[in-house]
Amino acid sequence: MSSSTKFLTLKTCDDKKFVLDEAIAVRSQTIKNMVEDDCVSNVIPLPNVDSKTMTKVIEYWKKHSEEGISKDMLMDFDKAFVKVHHSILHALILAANFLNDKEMLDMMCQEVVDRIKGKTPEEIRKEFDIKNDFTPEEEEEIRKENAWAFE
Amino acid sequence: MLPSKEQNGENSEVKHENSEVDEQKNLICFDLIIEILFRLPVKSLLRFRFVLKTWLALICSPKFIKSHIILSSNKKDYTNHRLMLRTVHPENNLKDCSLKSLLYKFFTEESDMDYPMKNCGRYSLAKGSINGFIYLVNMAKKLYLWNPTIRKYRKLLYFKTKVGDVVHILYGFGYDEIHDDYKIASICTNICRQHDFQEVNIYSLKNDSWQRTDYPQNETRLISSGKFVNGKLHWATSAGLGYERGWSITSFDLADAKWRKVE
Repeated sequence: MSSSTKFLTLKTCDDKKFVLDEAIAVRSQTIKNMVEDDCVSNVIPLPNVDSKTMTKVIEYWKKHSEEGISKDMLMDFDKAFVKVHHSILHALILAANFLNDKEMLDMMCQEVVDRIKGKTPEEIRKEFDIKNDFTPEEEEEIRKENAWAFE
Repeated sequence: MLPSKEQNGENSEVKHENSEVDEQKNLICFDLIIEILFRLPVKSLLRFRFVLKTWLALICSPKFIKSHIILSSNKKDYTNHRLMLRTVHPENNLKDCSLKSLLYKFFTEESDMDYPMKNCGRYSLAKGSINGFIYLVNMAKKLYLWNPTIRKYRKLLYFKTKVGDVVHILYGFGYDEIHDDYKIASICTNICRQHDFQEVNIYSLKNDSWQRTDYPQNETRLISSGKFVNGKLHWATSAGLGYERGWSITSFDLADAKWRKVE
């Protein structure tokens, strides 16, 4: 590692600290803006990200910053990376959104899409912890309008 | 920070605080739910409209629909693009297949399209398509705007023409972005008097009506069907006869209704 490598310290909401090469950390547009605006003192607080999620984010960033890694290897890594429980997936989406890493956000959103596209509205409510606010009559009316979409 | 479920306490004050936190959690998630919904296929979206009233309002909003079209039509692997074909034997039917599989696979499966006037005995022609909308005309002079993705169509009024009964009609179908309107141009020529004037009528989906418009002929005649590019319909035009015949391209701007010769 060259002597010019700069390190940043990131602090998650549960007070865990992560020391990371600046060149990797600036994959986050949020952190990049802070660095460019010279707002970085000692520690960058990440109030919306917990340490468990941040560990995963850093694992992704490091792999995607590896020199000489092939496209196929990255694809295999990504495929395995998104195979997590939906609660972790949701936390990663929130983190990618807060850190403003579009590439990662796109990938995680696409994974959710692939998981939910064949589901019923009831299953979706369960997945996103949503309480139904339609009356059975209203529901029936919408269902009738496009019955084929429920086949 | 995400509020965890363990925070639910016995105390009513704590409960009150938690409901605020829960609300906040939903608010945070809604932005991201939009990101996810944008990427879903239309069939799933039609089903998910009644997950929640806010989802219904979002999915049916013109802004969402427009962004969804842009996002899905810009997919580089053509996942959402379909190619439409017309078979002549044994039946005159419209079929479609996935463009992605046509480009990248050895075999492509075609499927029969289910469309208005399919079984009316007269065959139908697609005279143009844009943003998933298809303009269909059948031999009984019935006109339809059809959205196969949501399986809905609208039968259009037929236009009145002064050209006469024996008419040859050319069509053009496009989208006027400035007025957010879908428009059709029909060019009528009397087959018995081919060198007479050509009459142009423009249909606006917003107004659901046809309007006659002037075509400054300058001795050129519009031929073939109109091709929609960059907000304008384009026709090949010809002037003169035989060896003297000269060819050019004329465009009609759907937003300002002006004819221009393409240089």
